[in-house]
Amino acid sequence: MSLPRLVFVTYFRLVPTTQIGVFKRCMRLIQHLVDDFEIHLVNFGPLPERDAMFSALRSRMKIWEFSEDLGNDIARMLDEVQPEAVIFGETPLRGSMRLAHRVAGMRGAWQICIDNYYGDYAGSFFPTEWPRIDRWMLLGLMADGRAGMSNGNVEIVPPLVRFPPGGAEGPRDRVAILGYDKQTLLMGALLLRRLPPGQLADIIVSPEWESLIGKQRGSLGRPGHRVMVLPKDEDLSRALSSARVVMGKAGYQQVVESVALGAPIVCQICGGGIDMGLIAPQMKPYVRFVADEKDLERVMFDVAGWLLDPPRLPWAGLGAQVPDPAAHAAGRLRELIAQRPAPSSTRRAAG
Amino acid sequence: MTSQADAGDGPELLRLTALGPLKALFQAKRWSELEAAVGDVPVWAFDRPLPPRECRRFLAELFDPAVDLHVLVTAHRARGNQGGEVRSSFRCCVVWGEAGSWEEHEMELDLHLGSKPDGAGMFRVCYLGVSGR
Repeated sequence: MSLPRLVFVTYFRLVPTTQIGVFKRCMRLIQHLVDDFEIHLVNFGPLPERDAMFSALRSRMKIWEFSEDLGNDIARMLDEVQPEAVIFGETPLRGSMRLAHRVAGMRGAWQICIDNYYGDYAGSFFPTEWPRIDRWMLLGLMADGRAGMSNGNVEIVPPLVRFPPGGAEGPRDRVAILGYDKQTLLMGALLLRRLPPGQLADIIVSPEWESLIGKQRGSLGRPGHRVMVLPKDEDLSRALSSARVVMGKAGYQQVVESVALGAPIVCQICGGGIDMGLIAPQMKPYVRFVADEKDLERVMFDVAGWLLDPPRLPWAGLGAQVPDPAAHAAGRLRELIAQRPAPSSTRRAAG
Repeated sequence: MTSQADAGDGPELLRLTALGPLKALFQAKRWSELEAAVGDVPVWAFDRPLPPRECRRFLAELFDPAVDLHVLVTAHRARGNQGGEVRSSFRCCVVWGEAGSWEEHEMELDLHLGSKPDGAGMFRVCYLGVSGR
């Protein structure tokens, strides 16, 4: 008997800055769904061939490639696949994502969208702005440390981090630099240069920046620095759980995952990223943004405070409530998929 | 009440300004109601005053054939709060599709909005301007 089918629609970008968060969250959900659903993947942009989770899942998904006649190609694919649901990795604002949403709407597909929980207003904002998305799953941290909530068409779940089994090993005494892109890595070097030489640090990079570390010997690659090249999720979460401060890119996922794992974050502002306006009020005390070295000077007082007296974040108990957030979210997603009305009553517009 | 001058650049802004209702009417192509909502306040389009009737004709001409009309607000700049009047500029992207095809279009523009609290938790438009980018 064939499995029910899901179409995931996502993207991966390298310009203006590497944007892999949306793709990654789809993979984190797919790993928990692939045994029970036939997974069809529509990815706009290149495939991140070196991503460990994608490599592990690749052979278990049907990956679609389309011509320039994108609208008709997607329409034909949906007619052929007849999915239980089309799942968008992010709100289909513009471009190919929007076109895919438009085609899915015309084909009467059950549409579920994953996005970020930017604050209380998000639960009504998204369904109002995109009424043809049938269900929403928002990832984020709620004000009271709660793991999530369900409100009609909207499900709020914790970010898809992996909490280290049994908690972090050892003390929280490190600084973590999420240096997947050059700009953030160099800002991380500037941050480390301002800290005591003995400060322990985890420097997490893509392979292309390993050589750059060699050239920044004064601040990166000192004794006590551990360089991790594209670590697995569990190693990454262990590093963040051991950090008193994280330096990362101003991408929502890096921000919310660092905070969920208990570490305040300094974010390098980047093209296509977020700003303080998109940080939920409850997270603002633990997030700072920097555009350049002058900004870094301005946040060093906060960084010093976080290093000397690490705050206890309201989500410290989240790992105990939801030990595996990706598995939890996949379970909630199954419920959203199951809420699809019987096929005879689905809305099917001509198209 | 939070004023738009205090709000950051987020989607939250839409519910804090007069832009939200205007945007909803525009997206639904309800030109008459949009005209009524704007009322007789000055409207400037690309550095020229646009009489209310002209405004409606202009919108209908450009967007009547559009499907899935959507205004994305990509950035906001508060421009002060003078005598209760809040001035804002919104960087917007208008996105729409073509009926009968999968063609999609985008137009980037700046919307300049002046509004005043009406005392009932809403904002009333004082002026509206559109400029190209």
